[in-house]
This record gives sequence, C-alpha cells and structure tokens, in this order.
Amino acid sequence: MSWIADNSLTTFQKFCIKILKCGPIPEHVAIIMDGNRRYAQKQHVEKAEGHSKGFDKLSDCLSWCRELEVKEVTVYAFSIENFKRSKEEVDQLMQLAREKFARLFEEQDKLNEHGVCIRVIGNLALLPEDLRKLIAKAMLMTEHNNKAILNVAFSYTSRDEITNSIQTIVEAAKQGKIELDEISEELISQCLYTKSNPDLLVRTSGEVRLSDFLLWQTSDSQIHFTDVLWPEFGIWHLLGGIFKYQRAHKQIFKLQEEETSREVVNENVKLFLNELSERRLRQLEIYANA
Amino acid sequence: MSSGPLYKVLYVLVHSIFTVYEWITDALERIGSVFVDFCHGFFNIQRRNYLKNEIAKKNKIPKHLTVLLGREEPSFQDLANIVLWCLASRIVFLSFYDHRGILKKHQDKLEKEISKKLQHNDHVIWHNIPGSTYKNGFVGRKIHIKLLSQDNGKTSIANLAQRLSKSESEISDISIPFVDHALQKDFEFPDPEMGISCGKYLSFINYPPWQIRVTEFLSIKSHYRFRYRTFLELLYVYGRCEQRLGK
Repeated sequence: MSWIADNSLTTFQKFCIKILKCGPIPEHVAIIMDGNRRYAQKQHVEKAEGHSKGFDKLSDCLSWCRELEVKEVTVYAFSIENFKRSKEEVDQLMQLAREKFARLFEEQDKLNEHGVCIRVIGNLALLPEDLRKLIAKAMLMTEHNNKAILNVAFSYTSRDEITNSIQTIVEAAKQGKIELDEISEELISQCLYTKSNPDLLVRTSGEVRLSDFLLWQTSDSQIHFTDVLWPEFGIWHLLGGIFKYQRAHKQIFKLQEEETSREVVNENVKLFLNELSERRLRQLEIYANA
Repeated sequence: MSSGPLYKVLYVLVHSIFTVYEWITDALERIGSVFVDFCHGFFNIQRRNYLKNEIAKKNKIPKHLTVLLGREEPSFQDLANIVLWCLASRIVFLSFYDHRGILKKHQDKLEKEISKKLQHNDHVIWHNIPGSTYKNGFVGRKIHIKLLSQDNGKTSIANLAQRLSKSESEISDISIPFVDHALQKDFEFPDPEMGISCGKYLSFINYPPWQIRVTEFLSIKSHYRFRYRTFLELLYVYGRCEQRLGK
C-alpha cells in the first residue's frame, strides 16, 4: 500500500469532520503506533503481517489528517530500544522500512502534488548503510515541500535526541561560537531534530507511558491514551481524540499565554543555528551519496 | 474555520450537549460519593480489602510515585492523605508537581497538615530544604518527599549544558548514562514509575522531561476529596501494567 492513500471517507464522516473543523484543530499530531504485534497475535498471523498492517493504517491516518488539515504528523516507527528485539524481527522491520522508503521514489509526483515533506528523525548512524542511504535520499527529495510534514521517528529515542542536542551546544560553546549565557531551554529545543511541538499526542493499545518519545516536545501537549490497537485504529478514534483536544483547548490556551515570555534569539545564536542546519543537510547529502 | 453556518451551529450544539452530559455525570458522581461516605458502605470496605489483597499478590509497587496537580490549586489536606497512604503502601519516594511552584512556596502548610496525621513512628524526609541531610537509623516507616516545579525540569538540563561547556569534559563523554547520572544528582529521586495526574485532561505542563521516559500515567478527575479506595484502584491498575522496554 502506498504512502498517499486515497481518501475513503464516507459522506457522513466528511460531514462530521466539517463540524469539528469549526473549532480548534491541532496543527501537529504525534502518534505512538502501538499494538501491531498484539494485533497479529489476536488475528493469528505473523508479526510481520501485523507491522505491515500498521503501515497501511499510517497511510490511512495521514489521509484523514489531510482532510482535517492537520499540518504536521510525527509518528514513532522504531525506537533505538527496538534493536533489542529478536534478530529475525529487527531484520523484518528493516526490510519493511526499505520497501516503504523505496516506494517513496515511485510516488514522488503524488508527494509533490500534495506538498508532503518527509523527515526521518533519529540516530541514523545506527542504521544499516543501504537503508540510511534510502532515507537520506527520500528526505532530500521532499525537502522543499511545505504543505504537510511527516516526521518519522526511526532509530529514535528522546533521551538520545536530548543528549545529542546537549553535545551540539557544548561543542559550539567550547569552540566559542556561542556564549555561556546564550545556553537556554529554548536553545536546547532549537537543536533537537523536530521543528515544532505537537499539540496532541495519541498513544494506542492502552499503554499509558511515553516510552522515550518526544519527552521534551510534549511538555504542553494534550495527551490522549486510547485502548484500540494501532491496526484497528479508525477515523472515529482520531475524531474522538480531536474532540477531546477541543474540550481541553481552553485550558491549554491559557497555559500558553502564561508562557509568552519567550527569549529573543540574538544574531549570534541565529548564526549558529543556521550553521547547524547547514551541517545536518550536508551530513544527509553524504549519507545519500555514500 | 471555514464552512457554512450550519456546521458552526452543529459544532456549538455538539459541544453544548457534551457539556451538559458532563455536568450531569459529575453531579451524579458527587451525589454517589456523598452517599457512600454517608453509609460508609459495606461494598466499599469489601472492595478495599480485595484491592489490598490483589496489590499484595502482584507485589508491584512503584518506588517513586509522582503526583501532577495539573491546573488545580493544592488542597493540603488531600495531599497529606496521599502521604499517609504511601506510607501504608510502602512507597518510599513521593513527589508533587505543580508547574507554578505554589507548593514550594507553601511547604510549611503541607508539613503542618502531614504532621497532624502521622503516627509516632513515621518519618518524613524532605528533599526541598537545602542542606537538610539524610538521616539513617530510623525505626518505623519512612518516606522521602520532594516538591517539584518547572525549575526541576528543562531548566536543570539547560544548566547542565552550561556546566559542561565550562568543564574539561570531552564531547564524546557526553552520553545518555552520563547525562542521566548528572541529572539524577539534581533530581535526587529515582525516575518515577507511576504518575497520578489530576484533571480531566492529561498534559505534563513542563514536568521534568528526562525523568518520565517510562512513567505510567493514570488520571483522576481531581485530587480534591481523593479517596483511599481510588488510590488503591490506581495501584491495582499500575500493578497490571506490563513494560516491555522496547522488546
């Protein structure tokens, strides 16, 4: 199944979406797609089948988000901790990723038409070289699209990301690129892999923890835990999450107002941040041409 | 925010209906709990004993329980109750988080409420008073308490980055265990295994991010009039959470 699924919503579902869209809609939704293996067990099929069903659900979910005009989606596809699973399963997951990322190139026109930018966030250095190359190429291919952003957390943990951000900053400070008093929460945020924070985080399959996903970025997100397994996640589950977000929105809004005293980034820091994104881009090009 | 007026009317209608529905269920619940308090129901005690048994059987109690006040103003009496229940359940580390730092400001009030309820062999070790040292050799039950606010979170990570920039340490030394160790020194407590979040909607409101990697979050509507039985229900649910740690 492809990345850009055709919208298969019924008239009634579209009608309900139009109603919800009269209220606040999260701009950025993060999803922990949990429950593929439990689904496979329940259906008496192979684990790989469960993971593949999980991917199909992702492309469905992306099409629903497009309909809702959610601009950015971040999904937890593979954690660094997942490398601890059996070799067989890790290999299967890497193979699935290879197929899906390769497929992106076939769908280049569709992606460009919808203006979808795909970013993989995580520690790419830990991945097999060929997969890393595919991923880097895919990111470079869709880099300039800006209507919708899909962040795929792959080989990712939040602690790894935060540590990476600290490293980057300490290195810059030691080289004299930034001053000590320019090191702040805001600067750490800017050096993370993500560019914006999710408004809504959804975790499926009844688990009620973050499992090292976007720990830093979800500090003022609305958190929605739901019992349904990811492959069984339907449009109504998503709309339920959005409805709950709308119920809570008044409160979230109040909190954000409390926090309007954001620091102004000075020229020096701006320079450093530009250089950092340049450096990351060059790294991607190196991976892509490897 | 496009679409015709019909959708807008329906939007307002759906949310209004839900507000009324919530209002009714809340009212029913309040009446229900008053009723239970009033008869000190037989079922209540029975359920409590059942839960205690099950929790003991599972033998999975969080070492560190953290309570997120959400947007609620603290009720010192109810928080003091939680301290007592943790003592009874052998939870050793207990922390309270309010992002605005109200609790830190009014620690004396909380201390007073707690001391009213303690039994003579119970010891509370506060981790907020600078310079207060950990004393060993208590007889009886003891609990460590820490009050948390936004300053214990992202700020402490930024401070760490500053300290490291001044220090001699190599960039390659900065690893996850290294950062974890350094932050742990500030935080003092182990990472919380269980979090109780107050309010209908769960949001971390700048809770220290590093520490909640695998915390299981359970929600209660409010910590006002929080009941022992509800506390046990939560521990019971926590006991059944299974962590796979990536596997």
